[in-house]
Amino acid sequence: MKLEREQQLIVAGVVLGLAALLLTFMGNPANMGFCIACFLRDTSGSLGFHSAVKVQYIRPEIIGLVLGAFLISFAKKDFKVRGGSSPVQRFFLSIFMMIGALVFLGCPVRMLLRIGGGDLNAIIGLVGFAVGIFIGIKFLEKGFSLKRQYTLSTAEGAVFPAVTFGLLLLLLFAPSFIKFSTEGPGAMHAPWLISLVGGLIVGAVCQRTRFCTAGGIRDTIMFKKVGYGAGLIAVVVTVIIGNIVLKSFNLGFEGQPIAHTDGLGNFLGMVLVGWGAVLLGGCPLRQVALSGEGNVDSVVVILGLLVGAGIAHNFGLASSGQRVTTNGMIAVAIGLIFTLIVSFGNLYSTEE
Amino acid sequence: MREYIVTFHTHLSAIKTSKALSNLNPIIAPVPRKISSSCGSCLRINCDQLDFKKLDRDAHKVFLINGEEYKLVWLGEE
Repeated sequence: MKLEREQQLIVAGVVLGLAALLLTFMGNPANMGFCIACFLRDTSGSLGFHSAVKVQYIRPEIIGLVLGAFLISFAKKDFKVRGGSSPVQRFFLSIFMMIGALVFLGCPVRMLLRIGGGDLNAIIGLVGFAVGIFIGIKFLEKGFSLKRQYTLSTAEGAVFPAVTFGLLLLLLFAPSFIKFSTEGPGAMHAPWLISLVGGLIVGAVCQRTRFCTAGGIRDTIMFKKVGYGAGLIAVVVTVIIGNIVLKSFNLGFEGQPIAHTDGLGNFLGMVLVGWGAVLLGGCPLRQVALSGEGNVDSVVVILGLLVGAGIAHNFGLASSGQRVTTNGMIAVAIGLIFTLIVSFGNLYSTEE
Repeated sequence: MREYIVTFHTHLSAIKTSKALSNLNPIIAPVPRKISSSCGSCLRINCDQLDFKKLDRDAHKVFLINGEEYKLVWLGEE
């Protein structure tokens, strides 16, 4: 059966939504069935890159996403190793993207899951995310480019999936230097095999459909086709229905799980994420899928996100469920300035 | 009249080629999934014979559309 692009994205959105509902039901924190920012942050903490004791766990979902995308791309001959497109700027854009996400408290996927749980703070985040994407598109149209990628060796592309498999071994054998939270969100997780399989399925589906939270909004604006955003709507609708069935739908701003009510922090944090995602060519989830199919520029983004998580917790930038921090807002401001400089610094004439 | 799809290494290259070939009224669009797993932009062009020399240096591939099939007719630098 051949599906149109919009239909493929809807299928991807429903699969992602159902997987998120199941993982939350099986033990993941509320509205956090999937969250690339949170899960990379937990993984970063588990490796000792930060010492926030409540958010340390090697999340099998991340391992599954990378390996799911890797296996399906290999099987379908999509695995093509490429990279070399402004790695240093990508690395630092990603650090700030992670800081923006941890001020908001979630990547764009969790933003959709939070909306699906009735968390209205995430609507403010969505507005910020869309504004960031809009700014990014304006720079794309003016001639922004991080320059082209080049074909690289298979070995270069195989490193990250192999390292990810190594992370799975660290999770399973749990040597003493790996940290696991005993309380807080890091201690809340579905059984590892369910998380891993959930990640594998979503990773494969995302690789096949090119599902991207930023791309959905970007293409809707750039190509004026509302259908391209259908995947995002599918996630939200699936999760709303699921939460109502599971009696975990709670509409409002106050008392939302792992969320604060600082509108400015929610808005600006996600402006930074949306803007960065357009410059980088994909949201954090899309970057994880791409990292599995041989795109080593996306591997650089993942490394930036991991380091960004370390910085966010070591410098007290990440928000808590109660409030944003002053340091966090300063870091978001610096991130917006940095992203603006990168945006202007890579403008080229659009004339031949 | 033939129907071409041109893919690029960068979105900038798609814009530049679009301007260089503006007389052919190219349509900028997302790359079809069948051609690529990347999420870049492509140009859809209808003309009798596409002049490959007018493509930007970061143009990647040109396909000729024949029904459901995409036939590779030009390959730039990988």
